[in-house]
Amino acid sequence: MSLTLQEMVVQLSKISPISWGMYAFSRDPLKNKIDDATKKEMIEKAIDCGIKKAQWVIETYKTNNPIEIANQLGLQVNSVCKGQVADRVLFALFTPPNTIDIMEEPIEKAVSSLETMNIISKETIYNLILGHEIFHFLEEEDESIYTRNEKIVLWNFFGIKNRSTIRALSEIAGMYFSLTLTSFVCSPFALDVILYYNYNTKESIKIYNDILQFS
Amino acid sequence: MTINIIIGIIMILSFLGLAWYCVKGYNLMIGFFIMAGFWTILALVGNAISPVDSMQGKDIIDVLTYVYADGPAGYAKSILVNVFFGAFFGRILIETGIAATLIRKVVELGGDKPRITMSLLCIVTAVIFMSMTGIGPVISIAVIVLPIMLSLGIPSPIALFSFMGSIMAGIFGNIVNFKQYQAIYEGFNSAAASYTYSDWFQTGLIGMVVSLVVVLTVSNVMMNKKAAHAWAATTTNNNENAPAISWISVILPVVGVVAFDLPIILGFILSGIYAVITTGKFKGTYADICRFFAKLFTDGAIDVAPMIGFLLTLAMFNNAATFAAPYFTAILGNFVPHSALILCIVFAVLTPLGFFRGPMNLVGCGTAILAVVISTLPNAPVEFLYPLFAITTVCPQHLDITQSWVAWGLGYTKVSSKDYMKMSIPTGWVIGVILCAIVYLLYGGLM
Repeated sequence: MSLTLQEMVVQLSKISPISWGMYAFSRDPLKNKIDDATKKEMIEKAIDCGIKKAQWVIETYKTNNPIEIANQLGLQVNSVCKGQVADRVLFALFTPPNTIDIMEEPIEKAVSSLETMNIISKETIYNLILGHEIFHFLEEEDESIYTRNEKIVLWNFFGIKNRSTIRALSEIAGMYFSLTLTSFVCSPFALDVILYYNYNTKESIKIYNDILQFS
Repeated sequence: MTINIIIGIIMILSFLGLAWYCVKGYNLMIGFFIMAGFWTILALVGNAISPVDSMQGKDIIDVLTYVYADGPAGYAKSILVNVFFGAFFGRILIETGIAATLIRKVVELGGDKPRITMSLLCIVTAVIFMSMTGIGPVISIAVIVLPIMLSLGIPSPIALFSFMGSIMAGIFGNIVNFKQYQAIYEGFNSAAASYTYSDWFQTGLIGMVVSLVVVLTVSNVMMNKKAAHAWAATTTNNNENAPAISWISVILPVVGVVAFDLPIILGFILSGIYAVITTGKFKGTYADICRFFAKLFTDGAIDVAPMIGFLLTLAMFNNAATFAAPYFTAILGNFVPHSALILCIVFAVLTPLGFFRGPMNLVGCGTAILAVVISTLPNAPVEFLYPLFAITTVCPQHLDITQSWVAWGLGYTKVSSKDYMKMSIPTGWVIGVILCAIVYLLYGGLM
């Protein structure tokens, strides 16, 4: 049975933060190196990290508008006429030290779809994406932030250890940072389904089903 | 003599035409078929005006038979059988999940460190392509490796370049490719028949290591000092891991040939059976197992089908080049150096002419130059001259946008040819220079 975007978003708005976190981990190459209980602990800390950082930003810069925050932080925000690379739809890219590229293609595809526009405005999509990338900038600036200090040991060879950060935690924190700024109805991770929908409906439903597995 | 020079000039101009043809992205199979015909006609005209030794005692039908029948027939006998079984083995590594598992395990070793993980991915890709052949396996591996690199924040031009560069590195040790170039060389110098993969192995491994080091150095230099973060929506693939005991299948064909002198086709078959058994895919009734192997062979054949068409017309071109050799010799013969040092320097300097199927590329116009060099230096040892031609073929060819899988990768990652070539051409040249210097040190004394 095929699902409408509206029906999927209604279901996605009921997904718990931990489930969204587990979805983020399912995309991480290191997912098999961490057990589920540890993942849940990490997800909670990452969410807390993202929310606290957003609260600090709102308090410091006296605004929750991502565009104004980006201006005050001196970020270079570019719109790039790209989007899909292979079966991967790119929404945005943060390149240190201060460049954020926001891909126009997925946003324009959403704007041209009445079905998508009934659910979310162009401004909200843009703010959610920009907010998320602002978090990555702040993360680079703050060496003591949780997402840069939570590490796992990948291997231990006679005492020589390879420790790695976990990219999924950074993404989770970024989503809750962005969510706190924008007060969207569900996790910004939902954009994975909403924006992919205009590229490939079947694959978008597949992502949606992947997410439901964790709820 | 004048007519030979005029025809030689026309042939050189047709080289340039072919390079333009390649850059425009036109079909190479048809391009080489046209070139084979054009050179054959030119050689027949030249012979009619001023007879040459290469056509002595041959009438037109003999010449046409040599180009259009003997060429493809000889190629099929000596090369295509290896290509088919190499592709079959490549399919086994894909279908059993061994290649994907190796890649995932490597990522787990490197972690969230783009430079380290990229380097590890490139090393494992190079090792995999010591045995695998064809665009199908390349795509199957690319759709695993490239998204991982992109998710680590590696820019798509660098991800594509490092991936294609690591395949090129692996091709230096690839048995099927060795056989292919050796057969071309043997067509002009029968002494090459006794030059085996084991003889080439040391140079091939050096080529592989040097290529990996240069490709990774360039990739790392081009990358931002800090990791980028990308937000992208992706669909997931099958994540089931193949058991550790099956992983060595990847290098078993090479081990079989080098350590036990096994025929390469038997090496592919035995390694493939080992891979299927150790991954638990050798199950069901006799009919099920037969169907499974038949499908793998069919899929492998489909993977290399476009390449087969091209290789067969290339074989026609190679044989036409035999008749073209006197005309190239008339122009270039006096310029072919006789000292090992100068030869190595010339090959190093001219390595970029291996791009766009150019005159230093044996899987391009290079067969004519090979014919000229061998006719000028008939006693040049294969151990010295073969590696030089192999370097200027393997390195530029497998980084080149005329290579089928590079062209596919550019479309897949939406990287512009310009961005890609900014890295690939200088890199190919540097690798060529280093390897020519190494060949001089190792084999220059044989000259």
